[in-house]
Amino acid sequence: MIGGFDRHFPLPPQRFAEALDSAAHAIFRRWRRAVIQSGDGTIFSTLGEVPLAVATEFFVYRDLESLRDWEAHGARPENATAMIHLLASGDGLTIVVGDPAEPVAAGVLKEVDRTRFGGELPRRAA
Amino acid sequence: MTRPIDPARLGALVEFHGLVSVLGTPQGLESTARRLDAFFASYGEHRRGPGAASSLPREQDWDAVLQQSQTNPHRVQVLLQAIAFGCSSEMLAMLWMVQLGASVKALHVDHERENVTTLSVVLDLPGEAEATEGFKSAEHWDLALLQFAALTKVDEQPVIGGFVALRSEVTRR
Repeated sequence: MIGGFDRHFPLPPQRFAEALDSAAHAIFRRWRRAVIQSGDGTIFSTLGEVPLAVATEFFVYRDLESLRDWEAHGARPENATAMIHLLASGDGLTIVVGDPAEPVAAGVLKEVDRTRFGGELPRRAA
Repeated sequence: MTRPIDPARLGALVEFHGLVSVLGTPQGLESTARRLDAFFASYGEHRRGPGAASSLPREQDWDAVLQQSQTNPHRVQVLLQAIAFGCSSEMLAMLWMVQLGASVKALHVDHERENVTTLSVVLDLPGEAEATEGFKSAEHWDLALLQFAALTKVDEQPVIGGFVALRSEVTRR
């Protein structure tokens, strides 16, 4: 994604798929008509079928119309907050949003930031 | 017609997820296969409930588990860990629906030592139409699910973000 706001969450590679899953769940809970596109262009309309342990880059769109708009026009002010980019690589998960103050983006970033996976210590004090 | 569970493939899955010491004996694998079948039945029953319009798959079977083991092994790992803990088919169905996109709307625990344990969960099902589905169990071992809960907060409001596998010396991934 060109432009936007990047937020990086350091994680060990063994947690990448789970972190992508958590982030995607957080988005789908807020965008009930969301669709998700993997880095190779494959489009999925339900979370169950997304191969989160196989690919490392995903684009989650608010709905199919938003995906079509991005495909037709690329990033523009009208659609900047209708897609969230998830990238698991290197030393963690990066989430790119159009506007971190927009309610869905803000909620997702906060939720991922504070997630405590089972059986491990929190990343920082509550 | 769905394929029966292949003991050799199940054994390989159990080994892959570091659960041989718990589920890997012939009796353990047989029991795990029975419990997977019970889980598939429970999933289907719940899926035909009020949330029938949800985007969740209508059925789950051995092929679906094998597919997820290729694309999302972390989901299969938490399912097998829950089986290893002795969770009920009712709560395995709940856990699996969360893996596939549902979210925990409400969770209630009632426990009194040497008397009762009750766990009830209400899920928000994914899909355009809003729908919920309830799950209830009196199986004490179902409380093990709380160990898998990914807890978070959004603006100081509590959220259970999902269920994730435990990491320890007994699991290699």
